[in-house]
Parts: sequence; C-alpha cells; structure tokens
Amino acid sequence: MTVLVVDTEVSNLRSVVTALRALSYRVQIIRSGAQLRHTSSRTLIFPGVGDAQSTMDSLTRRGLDGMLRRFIRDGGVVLGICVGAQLLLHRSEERDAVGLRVVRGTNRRLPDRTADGARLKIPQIGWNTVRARSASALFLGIPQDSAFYFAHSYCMAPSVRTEQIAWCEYGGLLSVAFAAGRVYGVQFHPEKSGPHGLRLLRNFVSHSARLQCS
Amino acid sequence: MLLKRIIICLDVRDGKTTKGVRFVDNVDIGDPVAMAADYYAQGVDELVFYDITASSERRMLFVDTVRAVAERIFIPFSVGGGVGSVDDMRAVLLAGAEKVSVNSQAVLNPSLIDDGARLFGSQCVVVGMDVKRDPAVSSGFRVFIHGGRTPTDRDAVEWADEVVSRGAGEIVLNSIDADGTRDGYDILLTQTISSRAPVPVVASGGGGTVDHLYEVLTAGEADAALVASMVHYGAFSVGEIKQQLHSRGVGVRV
Repeated sequence: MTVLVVDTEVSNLRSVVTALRALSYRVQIIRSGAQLRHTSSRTLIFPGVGDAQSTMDSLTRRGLDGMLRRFIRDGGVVLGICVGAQLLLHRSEERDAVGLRVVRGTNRRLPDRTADGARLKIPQIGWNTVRARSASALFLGIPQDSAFYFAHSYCMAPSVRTEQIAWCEYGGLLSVAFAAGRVYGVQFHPEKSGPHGLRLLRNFVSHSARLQCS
Repeated sequence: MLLKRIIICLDVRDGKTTKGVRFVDNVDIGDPVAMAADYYAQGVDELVFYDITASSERRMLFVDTVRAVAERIFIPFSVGGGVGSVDDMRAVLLAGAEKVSVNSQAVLNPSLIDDGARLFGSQCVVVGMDVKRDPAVSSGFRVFIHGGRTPTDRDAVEWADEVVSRGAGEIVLNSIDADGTRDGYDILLTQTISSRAPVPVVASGGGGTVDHLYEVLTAGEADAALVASMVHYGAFSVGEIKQQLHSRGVGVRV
C-alpha cells in the first residue's frame, strides 16, 4: 500500500513520513500537480504546520490546489492534519486565507478567554483528551478520552454537524476532527501523539483501502 | 481538558548526554538517541535536547542526532543550543524537531524571534530564559545568557513580555539558582511569569521529587515542567511520576 504525502514546502513532512514507514507503508512524496495526476495511489495525507496562506500559496504555485480537488472528485481518500485539515475547509480568519473549499466550514482563531472569563493561552500547545463518535473509523480501537498532541492558534468549524466527529475541551468545546465523504481532517498531530496517533494513521490507511475495494 | 506536560531535558555535548549542577561540572551519562527511545516507551510527553556547548564554543548544531531521534520517537521534541539564525532554525525543524529553542541569541538579536515566528509559525518558536534572582532589577529576576554565565541588564518579566510580543509561542523558564539542585523549582519566578504570559510556560530547574512537580504545576501555574537529574539517574520513572501526579488530581497523560 502506497500512501501519498503532500510536500507543502513550509512544513515538516518528515515526522509524518517516518510514522507511516514505521507502520510499514510505502510512502510517495507529492511535490507537484503533475506528480499527483500520474500516481495510481488513492490514499493521501496532507500535513501542515504554520501559516495557512503560505501553505495555500505553495500549493497554488505547483498546481496542487486544482489537482487535490480533482484527486478527491475522482475518489481519492484524504486525511488533512492541522493546517492541512484547515485548508480543506472553505476559508480561514487567518489573514483571510481561502482554502481548498472541499469541505463546508471555516477556521476561527481560538478565543483568548473561556466562557466564564478565565484567560486562555494561545496557541494551544500540549496534550488534550479527545472524545469521538463511537462509529468513527478513524478512532477504531482508540479509547475515549485518549490524549492527542495539539499545537494550534486556529480551530476548525465544519458547518455540517454530522461531519464533526471528534471534540476536545479548550475554553469550550472545540471540533477537532471531521469526516466528509472520503475527506478527513484532524486538528491534532497523530504523527506526534504516541501509540494512539500511530493507531489513527493505521486506521486511516486501512479504511482508505476498504473504501477503494467497495 | 489540556493536560500538564512532563518534559525530559537532555543536554548533549559531542553526541553524548551530559548533566551538570548549576551549569558546571558536566558528566557524560549516555547515548541521547537510546535515552530518547526509552523515555518515549515510558510515556514521557515531550523531550528537549540542548547542545550545551554551542553558545560559548560555537559548535555546529547536532543535526544528525536530531534526525536519529526523529526516527525513533512519535512525540514532540524541541532542540536548542546556539541557534542563531533562521537557517539554524530551518535545519533543526527539517531534521525532525517540532520546535526550536532560542536563548542567548534571542537576547543579542531579538528580531530572530520575529523572523522565526513569521517563517515557521509561533508554535515552532520557543524562547528559553535563564534567570537568577537579583534584587537590583525591578522584578527581582535578572536574565542571563551564555549558559547562565553572563548577566544582562534585562529584567525577566519585561523580557518575557517582549518575546511574546515578538511571536514566541512558548517560554521555557529556567532558574539558574535551582538548576541541578533537585531542591525544587523557583515557584515565585514561575508563577510571576506564567500568570502573566499568554503563551504556555514550561518550568525548568530544580525538579527533584513529585512534590516539586506538583507544586510548580499548581502554585507555580506552569503549563509543563522540565525534569532531568530526577529521571536520568533512575530515581524516578516517568510512569511513577505521572501516576502520583494523577492520583493527586493533576491532569496528566497516563
């Protein structure tokens, strides 16, 4: 099974690649739209750290924005991580960046106060416990309230309630994972979340293989 | 709920982990890559690697060690020690570190923080501060550089405010007085900075018992605590530390 990983140029894809190889998957790094068009794999991970607009510009410059949308339209299965997940949505408050518009929703800056006025530190950096919908394929075999690693200043707000599949508590309930057809996104970093994170990556790839067989 | 992090610090010199008391008398204690893999297996939340000779002796960054560590562990780790340019930062991040830590070079050239945050994102940029109590500065806490050897005229509270405004995503606050003593963190210093900073603050220096950790994560208001001597000599395992904190009501990843 070959898993495609998008090189966004501004972020570190080494951690994701290392995690996938540790799970015994072959990895192909995608650097251009042309490369994506010519690969036969239909399983893709879109990692991202840092600035949403810079990442989007990097994709556009290499023809990857259009090709990613086409990849999804043609039945490709995608997992976005952190900024990658945020860019799958329509837009972001972060410098008014416009995303790939594949999944309905926006990204908002984390509030700096909780509902009762206590100060909230931004970015959220560290391990937070995640609750997921029980039938979710991504979280198969992962106990409720398992901790995952977060490092973000913006949070996702998918518009369609049934597409939100996991949450954490940080100044209120935050949506931290979505599943929209064959497009998945997680706010946290599974490649940095120890054994549960590796399990989630394995779940994604297995699920993608099953989707493609059906 | 966001959990408190237990972070293990490894000082590295010439590719070997080393430990000193109050920044002097360093002794070799093991292979950093093997130690990292072991601590990961024990459930540590995060690791920090400092190339400790870098500031005063201008050594090259130990990118090969970073790469080897990144192959073995699937938790975040940060790297620091002599990081003086965005090229240094990029090399460390591309080698597999989540975050890069700047200390002396940030004091000498503060725009390094702004440049790093702009290019890589605030969450990648950690500012380490070495601080010693000194009644001659207004907050009572003076910033030192060069591995805690050189005093500056910077007040720690003012410097913490400044690094945040320049884009630092996290502060690692090291007490020079407490460092290596295993007699407890500087609770007043930690609480002073952490209660004020809008970014996570990691307490460092003096961790010797679970009581110390409990104190600095509650009264000290630290978001995370760095330990080194406490675990490197086998007195405590990560599991023991976390179980005890958990049973005392501190939210940690277990």
